[in-house]
Amino acid sequence: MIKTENLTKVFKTDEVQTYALNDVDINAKKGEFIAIMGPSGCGKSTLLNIIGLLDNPTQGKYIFDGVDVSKMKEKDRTQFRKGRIGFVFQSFNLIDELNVYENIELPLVYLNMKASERKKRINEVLQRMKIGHRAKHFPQQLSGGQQQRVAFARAVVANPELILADEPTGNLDSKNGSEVMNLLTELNQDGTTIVMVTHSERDASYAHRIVNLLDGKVITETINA
Amino acid sequence: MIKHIYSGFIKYTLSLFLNILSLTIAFSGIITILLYISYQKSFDKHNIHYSTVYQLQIDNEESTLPAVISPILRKNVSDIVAITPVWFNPGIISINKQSKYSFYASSFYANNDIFKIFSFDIINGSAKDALKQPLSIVLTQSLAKKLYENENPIGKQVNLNGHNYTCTAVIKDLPETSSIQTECIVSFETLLQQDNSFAKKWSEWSFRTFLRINSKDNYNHVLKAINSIDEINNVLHEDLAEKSANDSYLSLQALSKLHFTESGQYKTINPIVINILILLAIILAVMGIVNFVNLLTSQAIQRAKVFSIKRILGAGETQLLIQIIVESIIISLIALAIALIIHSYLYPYIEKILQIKGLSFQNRNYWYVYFVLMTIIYSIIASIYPAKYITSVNIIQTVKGTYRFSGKGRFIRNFLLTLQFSFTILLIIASISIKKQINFWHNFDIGIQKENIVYIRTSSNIIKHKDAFVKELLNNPHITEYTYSSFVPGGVGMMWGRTINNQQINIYCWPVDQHFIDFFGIKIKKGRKFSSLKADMNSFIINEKAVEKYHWDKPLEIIMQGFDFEGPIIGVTENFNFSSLKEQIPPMQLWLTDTRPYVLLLKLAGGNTSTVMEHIKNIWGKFEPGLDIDINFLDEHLNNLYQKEEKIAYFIEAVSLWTILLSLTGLLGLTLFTARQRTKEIAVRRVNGATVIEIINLFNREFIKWIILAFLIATPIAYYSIANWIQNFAYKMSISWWIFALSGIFLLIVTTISVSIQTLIIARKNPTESLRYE
Repeated sequence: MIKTENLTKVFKTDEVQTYALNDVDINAKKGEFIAIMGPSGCGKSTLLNIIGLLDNPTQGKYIFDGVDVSKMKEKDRTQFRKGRIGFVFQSFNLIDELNVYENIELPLVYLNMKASERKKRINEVLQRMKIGHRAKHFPQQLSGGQQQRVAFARAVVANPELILADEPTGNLDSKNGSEVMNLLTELNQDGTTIVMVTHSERDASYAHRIVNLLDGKVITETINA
Repeated sequence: MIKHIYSGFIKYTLSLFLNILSLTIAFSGIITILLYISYQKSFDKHNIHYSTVYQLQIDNEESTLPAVISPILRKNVSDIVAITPVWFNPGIISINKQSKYSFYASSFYANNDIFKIFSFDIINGSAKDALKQPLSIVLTQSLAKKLYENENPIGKQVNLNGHNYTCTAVIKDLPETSSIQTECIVSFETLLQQDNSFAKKWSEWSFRTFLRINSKDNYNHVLKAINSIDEINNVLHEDLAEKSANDSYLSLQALSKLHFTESGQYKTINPIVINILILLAIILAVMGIVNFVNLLTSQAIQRAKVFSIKRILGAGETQLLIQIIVESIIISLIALAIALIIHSYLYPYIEKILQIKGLSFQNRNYWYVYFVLMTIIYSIIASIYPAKYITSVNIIQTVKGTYRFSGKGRFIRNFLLTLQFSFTILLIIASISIKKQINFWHNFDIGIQKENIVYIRTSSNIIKHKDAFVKELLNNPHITEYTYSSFVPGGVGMMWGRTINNQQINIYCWPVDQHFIDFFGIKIKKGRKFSSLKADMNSFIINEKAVEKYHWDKPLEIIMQGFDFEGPIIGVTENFNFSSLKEQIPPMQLWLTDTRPYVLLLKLAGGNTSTVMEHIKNIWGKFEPGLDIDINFLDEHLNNLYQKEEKIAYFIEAVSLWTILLSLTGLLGLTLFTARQRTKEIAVRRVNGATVIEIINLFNREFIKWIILAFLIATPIAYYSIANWIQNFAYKMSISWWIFALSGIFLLIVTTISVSIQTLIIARKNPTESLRYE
């Protein structure tokens, strides 16, 4: 489903040129669950930016569903990723001024979906994430685990083909962390492709395959038994 | 989008408040200035033929000319549609000679063409021949009402300066925005019918001339034509030396320029005032933008995060850019609405304080639309940079909280802050310097006494009994001396051009009585003062400047040509300033005569002013019961010579106050946000032993260095501008270093207080709380 060839990202300042990614070849089949691991500064976030179509590579190719998206303009990238890619973050990144319902509604609003259809979808996902009773609450009124569920609900509400998770359990205790990983597994079992960046060996063990990055390069790939 | 904008407003209440406050301050200043400029620019536009009306001049300077030029031009230049000489001659008006109720009225003489040149609204009567007959008069509505209340004045008699006129028409009062003001117009034919009429003489250069041409396109043609008439050229060439026979003398001043050319006759404004106001409006607009940009970018980190989340969820960059711009437009329109409300309450007071008119929206509601449009454009300009800045972040890093804005944003904020400080310092220096120059003029020793002197403009009754009137006034021991004169110092308006021993001279002529020299304590350098009216009637005393300019070795042997007499020069006075100190002392002569006692000057012993005023009024009432007295102080009159400069000073002072407020609002915002962003740093420093004072010093140092930079930028500009400005004046102050120092220190103190208070609030928090929060 996604495939990169010689993916390179260079950040230039007046004095230095830094290779955040250097000839990275990575691919994920539809329905696969991949974990990307590596120390801080190894290029994980940059890779996620590019896979999530938030940024373009400096060199190399990125094929998404058979379409070369590596040279797309920002406007086209936004159009392309809408509804296709969902994001989950360590720090949840909910908007404080919007309640749970409105937070989940955002991706559907940007898809210009009708209000009645939005309501239906949101109610479904609220039930699925077991947070229906929290719909009118604001993020700061929720526990960490509940906030991450809202973030999940928001990521999946548009039925994306790919979910990008950036250290999704980093801010959670072990109980909530396990719950989140179970959710991801469940989504994966339903057919959603998942690419997850993590520091945790335990979380990585949920994935089908683990890609290790160091200094912008893929150094090993391990398949989980 | 509206919901998102609203939630943004709620979250950023403080910065929203500061932004609205700052824009309100900027807008209220700009509204006042623009309305005032537009009012000034609207002058004379009520005239239908605005673009084809001209005043005849000599050498592009406001001039009076002989009246006989008008009929010659009309005969010879076919493109002239209408032309009239105009003689301004205010006087005392009443229903008839015996009437006890009389008062001063402004008036001018003109022929019937005046109705083809200016647009007067006729209410009663007809413009066709209203001024054709001698002794006819056209009254304005309010003057007619004053004289006849509700009666129809047409065909009724009006007494002006002792002569009876017939009212032939009533016109609406001239609009406030007319440069030419009058309460009545008298037929020029009246002057032409007089025996030996001065209006028919080539030597009488007392008349202004207005004309209308058939098309603006013919301007050059008309200009050429009016300068090609030998009958006129020969006379002008004879009277105006220093030109070759081929040079043209006559020029045309467009009606559109009349209001912007200094003149003692018309309602005018110096174009410099307008230019300064435009500059001040630009400064306010720029300062408003600076605050706007600074406040928006200083919260970029918080805002960028929300925008990045939205980007991830599918919002386009343009969509978010538009959101920020729409937000800015809404904020600016709110500020505009508040500024307009404030303006509606405050403008009468501003008009009163600044002694100006034209700040209301009356009859120009379209300005509301202009302001709304301007505000929208303004807010778009102001928000483009911050919007770009906020939306151009690395999205993933921003949502993870690891993104750091480059130093560029901070550099721009500091640059803008320095710009604001520079404007503020510049304006403080300018306003203090202008004040200092005006004070210099007020306190300058002009060579004659000006304190404790009052003057009264006389009337025909007072002139008739001038000795008896003054005798009764002197019964009060507090009135010590008197003199009758034609003018007061600062208002000498008679200029003689004469040829003496083949030398062309131009000299101010000041008709006075025999007491004048002693009254003002003028020193005689050569010859003697006037002894008595009888002995020295029609003799002259000139000033040293005349002797110097015309290189007269033996001035006391010169015989001066009068009108129908000649008289000797009997003395030379020391130079004294009898006009504005902006100009050098010109050549001047005092002419001893009893024919022009238009002003009575009285010296007071000091103290008991109100009793003395009462006494003067009582005596006046005895001699002139139907006419109100107008008593003025000489020093006040002389100070009024610098009104234009005072007006500029007022404006600059008001705007510098505004810029200080704007700087402080911007500074408040910046300090608050910088301190908030650095809460953790403050806490770490405190934990490591820094005192509150040290933290305050740290923050102050940041701003102080920008003030110093602003000071270094602003002072040379200020010095250069002021040095240039005072170059225009004959008598000028010295530029003082303390003004520069004061402006810098003032800004430094105000900034330090503002920054310290805000930092104190944050620095006093328990540092562990901040760290835990972080």
